[in-house]
Amino acid sequence: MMDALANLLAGLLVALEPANLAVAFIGVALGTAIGVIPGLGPTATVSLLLPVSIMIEPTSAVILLAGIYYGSQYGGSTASILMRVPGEAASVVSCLEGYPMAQQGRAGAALGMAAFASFIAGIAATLAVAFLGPSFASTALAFGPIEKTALVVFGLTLAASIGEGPRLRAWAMVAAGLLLSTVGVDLISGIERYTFGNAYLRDGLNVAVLAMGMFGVSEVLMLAERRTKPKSTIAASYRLLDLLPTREDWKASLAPIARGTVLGFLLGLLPGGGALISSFASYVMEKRISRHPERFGKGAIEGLAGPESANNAAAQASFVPLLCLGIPANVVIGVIMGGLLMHGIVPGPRLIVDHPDLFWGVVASMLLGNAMLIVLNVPLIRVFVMLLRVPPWLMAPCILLFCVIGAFSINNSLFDVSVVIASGFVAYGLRKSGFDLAPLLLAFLLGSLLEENLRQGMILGFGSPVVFFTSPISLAFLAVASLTLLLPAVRQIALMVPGSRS
Amino acid sequence: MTALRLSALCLAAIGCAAASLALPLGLWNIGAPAPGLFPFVAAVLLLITSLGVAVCKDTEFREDEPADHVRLLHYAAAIASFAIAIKFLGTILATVFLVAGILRWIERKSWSQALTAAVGLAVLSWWVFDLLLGVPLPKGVLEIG
Repeated sequence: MMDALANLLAGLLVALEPANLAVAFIGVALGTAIGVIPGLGPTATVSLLLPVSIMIEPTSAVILLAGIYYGSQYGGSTASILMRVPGEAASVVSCLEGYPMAQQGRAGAALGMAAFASFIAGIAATLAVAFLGPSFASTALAFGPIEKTALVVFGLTLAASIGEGPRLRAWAMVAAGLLLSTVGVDLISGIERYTFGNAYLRDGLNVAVLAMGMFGVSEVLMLAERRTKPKSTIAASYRLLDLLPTREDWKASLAPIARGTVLGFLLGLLPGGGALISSFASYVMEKRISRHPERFGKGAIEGLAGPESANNAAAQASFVPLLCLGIPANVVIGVIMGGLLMHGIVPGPRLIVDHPDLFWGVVASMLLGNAMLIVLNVPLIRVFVMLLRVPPWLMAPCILLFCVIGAFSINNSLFDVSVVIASGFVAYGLRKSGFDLAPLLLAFLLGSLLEENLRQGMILGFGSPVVFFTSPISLAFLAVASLTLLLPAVRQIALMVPGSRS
Repeated sequence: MTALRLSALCLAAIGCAAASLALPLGLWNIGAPAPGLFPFVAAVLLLITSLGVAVCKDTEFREDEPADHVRLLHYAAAIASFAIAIKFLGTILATVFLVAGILRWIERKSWSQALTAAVGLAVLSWWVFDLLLGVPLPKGVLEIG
């Protein structure tokens, strides 16, 4: 413990060097900006800046790229809360409670809570990375295809319980999401599936494009069909202090933030989907343990605070497998790993011994970066809330432009423009019929992970599904998934038993 | 037939078609899943759950307020036209026409309001995405050289 503290202090000295402070600031500011603007996303930005990172010191390079990544987690919720346009996968959950809060004139409280929850989780997770990270790193090694399959199955059961409406409808949406995730070239056999000869579909559908269409474009159509004027989203006052979360908001959010941080940190350590699952796992957990689950989907601040802290904690924790084991937990971390390799540094168990200044410098820079982010983001809340003063007749074209140009910017492809609009129309039809789209999108995210690991697991088990019941971790996840599936049915049966209500 | 039943039946039809397309890809190959297995399972799950939704008695969905279908159709036509126009006219001109068209003919705003907003949004989106973020937005007829 004392060693870690001494190392962290030494890392702080590295992080406080003017050049490192400057790149940390550039990284987090850029991350916030690309998080706020739907489209580009952290993976593309980190990739674009990779050549720049070669020209600077390796420590500064990782500080810059890491800053973009966790900075984008801060900014990502802004468009979700203000316009229901999630710029990336992790922000989908922020739409569920953040947007209704903005509709009720509480955008400031939502944005403020998102920023503070991210900050608290970011600092706590960074300290956990410093003090527990190296000893927790081996957790990542315990997760092979069998365990990852079970984790994703658990994620799917959570996806089915995230939305509103009857369970069967949610499962239909989960199935639709899984089916959409199979579009494109099968990575194991190279066979095209559901591409219908269209070259653009070979790489599959992009999650950000689908998210913008399903949430953003469908919202434009929902706004368009209203006969009555939409409810006022204008706040009572535009003083920053009046916009920030109230004492009641904090009271409702502190425990969800703590739970979200722990959950996000643990799931963030797992390679392949852990960080992704963290935000909606936190949402489902908060909904399940809430005394008033009926408030969820209508602007419950705890449903925003928990997931926001979870995705930030996961972003910080995902550096642990990279720096301690050389395993990238997700695509962005993979690109950052590429940056390290280009400097001739091989991430892995020797990194902390051979390059302690880099390891501890990056960890300490996360503390400073999170402090910079809160200073940068809180004053911006007023500016963002003022954006809601845009009259409703102008809001719909603004959301539409954001979605269309944001979708184009991901691959510079006009085909993505067609996909965003088509998915918007389909999503509108499904929403009007009473289907919730969150399970579809989350299942789409998990689908390719599930298929890849399931097939690898089956190969390991020589074609026998029994292999998924041989690992204790896999067994535990499958047991929790079964409980998640069966518990509502058991509860319903219990309610039907005479005398059980008394 | 309610909108929910109609949507559920459409989803069931998609599930049925997807399952039949997945079958020729193969379900099982040399002791391991073939490329068609996962899509087939997902498609069958979609088929079963959608049919379940369609036949369930307690799945009626009521709207809060009646929809203005004419306004909706106008918006839908404008959005679809925008997707086509962006290819030929480029982002700036397509944005100007889309926003000006929506504000003037659907929202009944004055020409000055519609044009100011249209030009402002076109310039803003160009500045943010093309100049600041370096996204090569389609220039269409404005392409030089």
